[in-house]
Order: sequence, then structure tokens, then C-alpha cells
Amino acid sequence: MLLADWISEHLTHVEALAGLGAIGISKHVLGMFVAAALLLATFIPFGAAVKRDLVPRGPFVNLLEVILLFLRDEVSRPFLGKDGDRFLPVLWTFFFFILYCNLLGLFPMLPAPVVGHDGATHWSWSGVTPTGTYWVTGTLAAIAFLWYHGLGIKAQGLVAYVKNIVPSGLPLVLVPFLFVIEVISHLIKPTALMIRLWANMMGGHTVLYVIIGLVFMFGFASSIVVVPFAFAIYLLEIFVAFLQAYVFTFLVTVFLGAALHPDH
Amino acid sequence: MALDLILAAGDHAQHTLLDPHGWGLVFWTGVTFMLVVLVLYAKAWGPLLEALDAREQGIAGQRDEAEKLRADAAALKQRYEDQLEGIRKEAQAIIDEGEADKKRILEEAKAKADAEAKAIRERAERDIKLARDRALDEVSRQAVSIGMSIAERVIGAEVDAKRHVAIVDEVLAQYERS
Repeated sequence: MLLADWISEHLTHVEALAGLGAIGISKHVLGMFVAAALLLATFIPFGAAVKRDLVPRGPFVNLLEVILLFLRDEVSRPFLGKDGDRFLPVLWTFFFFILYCNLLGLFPMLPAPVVGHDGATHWSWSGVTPTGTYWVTGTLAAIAFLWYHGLGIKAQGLVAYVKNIVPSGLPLVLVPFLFVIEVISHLIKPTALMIRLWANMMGGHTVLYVIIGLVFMFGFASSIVVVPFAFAIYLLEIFVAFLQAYVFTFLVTVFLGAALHPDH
Repeated sequence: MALDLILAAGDHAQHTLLDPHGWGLVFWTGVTFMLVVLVLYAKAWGPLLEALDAREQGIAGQRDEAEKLRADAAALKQRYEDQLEGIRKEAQAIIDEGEADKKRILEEAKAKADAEAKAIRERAERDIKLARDRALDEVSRQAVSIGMSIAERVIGAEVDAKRHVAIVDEVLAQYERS
């Protein structure tokens, strides 16, 4: 198998492994399950610790609380106000779900089953990034899209919400044009969410694979140069994993703020 | 070379990206995410929001209580300071009174002592004068007696009583003058 084939196979192949037809379990689904399980394994004890003691104690509770409160104080509250705290559970879940999915791809020790072109299942030890496929990021963006528009419609009423798509006080002749432009912009927003996250994850991993692949092309001696370089990219990827989870959550918050308060 | 690889990856992706199994991924993403939201809402986010709320209220309550305690403490301090000031003034008054008493007692004692000393001196002077007068008187009498006896012996004649007293007085007067 060509290296290029292997990389594309690894990054984009979403074929299901086990039965169930279209909703069969593919390696990305499996990765997502692992991310979800890790998420629950992190936050259920955290919730219990928080419930048990009002004072945050220990690095585990404090570290998570710092991130959660940062998202509340620096992301949610500036756009949604104190009243917007009730939306935090979804925003927090977006952030950590995406973060865990992003980081999962950086753990090469996680085995991922891959169906090769020969139709047989191989076990790849390279791990998998669920957010490295736009099916996943697209679904997350669509959930966000439905969520913030749904809340906007609930807050303003459907008629007022549709009316508020176009800013008030415009000449009547401009209204249809602007309506179309605004609708397009509303559609572009989740699309941008989808592509940004997917491209970042997939791009980072592609770069990592290509750089590591140089060792196979130029021999093991090149690893003296290649591995430190890959290591640096790896560190960058850790940062990008956090950054993209943050950017996604931040933008969803901004869109939600705009949906709830059209005058801003 | 690396660019070829990426392009090749892109070409390959072309036919896998339209994979109908992608919709399975959509389904599982939706289900997983929703489940995670629900479970975490019940087990983590709910308790956290409640805890944050309780903590906020607790801190606000404690702050109010601390503010109240501080005000109480300030009032108490003021009261004690006022009391202390009163006590200080009282003590000063007692000291002042003591000083005045001391001065008065000293003055009284001094005046009494002075008066006593004066009385003693006067009595002594009087006694001295009396003693001197007595002594002088005695001396005069002795002198007269001596004079009489001398005169009797010299003159050898009895003198009558009247004459005797007159002579004595005369002699005494002469003696006193001298």
C-alpha cells in the first residue's frame, strides 16, 4: 500500500466495521465512543466531588473548574449575560466533547480497527480523531445550528425571529436582497464551524503523517531531523486541539447571543 | 514529494467522502453527543451549577455577615473607647482630688504645727519670763533681807514695821531702777 493511500485511508475512511448497515460502527464512531466514555469518566466523579464538597479541593476539581469557569466568565457571560448560565451545560459539553475527540487522535496507542481495500479488518495502532472527519464536525455544527436557532425562536417567537433576520429601518427595496444574504450567512456560519474544526484536525494529522512518512522515504537516519520536527508539530497539535474546541464553543456562544438578542 | 502525498490523499478522499456510511457517523455523533449532554447534565453540570450558585450565595452571605460583624465590632470599640475615656477622666478627677486633699492636709498640718510651735514658744517665753521674774523677785527679797539684816546690824536699831516696808520698797525701787 502506498503511503499516500495509507494516510488517506486512515484519515478519511468511514466504512462501518460491524453490520448494522448504514449505522454500523466505524473507527470514527468507536473513537467517539471512547471520547464519550472518557468524558463521562472525567466528569461524573467531578460532579460527585462538587456535590460532596462546596469548596473545590485538589488539582482534579480545581483544574476542571478553572476551564469551566473560564468558559462561563470569558465566553458565555460577555455574550449571554448571567441569565445565559442556563445554556452552559450544552456549551461545556461542546467544548469538552470536541476537545476529547481532538486529543484522542494524539494518542497513538489506542487501537483502531480499519477495513482495508482487501475487505479484511486490520488493527491500526495509530488512534483516530473523530473530529478529523467532516461528518462528525458537520453533525456537531448542525446540532449547534438547530440549538441556537431553536432557542432564538423560543425567545422571540417565529415571526419576530424571521423578521429580525433583516435589520430594521432599511429601505424596502433592499429587504429581499438582504434577507437572501442574511439567510446565506446563517447557513455559512455552521458550515464554517464544520470546515474549520475538521480542516484543522485533519490538516494537523496529515502534516504529522507526512512528516513521519519522510522517515520511510529517506531511511531511518533522517529520523534525527524528522522526529524532533514531528514532535514540535505534535506540541502544536495539542495546542490546536484546545484552540479549536475553544473557537467552536466561542462561536456557538456568539451565534446564540445573536439569536437571543437580535438588537445587538 | 510530500505535496504529491497530500494531493494523493485528497484524490483518494474524493470517493470515500461520499461514503453512505458517513450518515451512520452523523447518526452516532448525534446520539453520542445528546447522550453525553444528558448524562453530564444530570451528573456533572447540574451539580456544578448548583454548587456554584450555593458557593456564590454562601460567599455573599458570609460577606454580609462579615460586614455586619465589622460594624458591630466598630460600635463596640467606640463604646469601649468612650467608656475608657470616661474612666480616664474619672481617674484624673480622683487624682486631682487626692492632690488637692494632700495639699490641704499638708497646709492644715503645717498651720497646726506652726500654731503649736508658736504656742509652745509663747508658753516657753512666758515661763521663762515668769521664772526670771520669780528669780528676780527672789533675788530682790534676798537682797532686801540681806540689806535689812545688814542695816539692822549696822544701825543696830529696831525699825517699826511701816517704816520697814517703806524702806524695803524704796530699796527695791532703787534696785529695780538699777
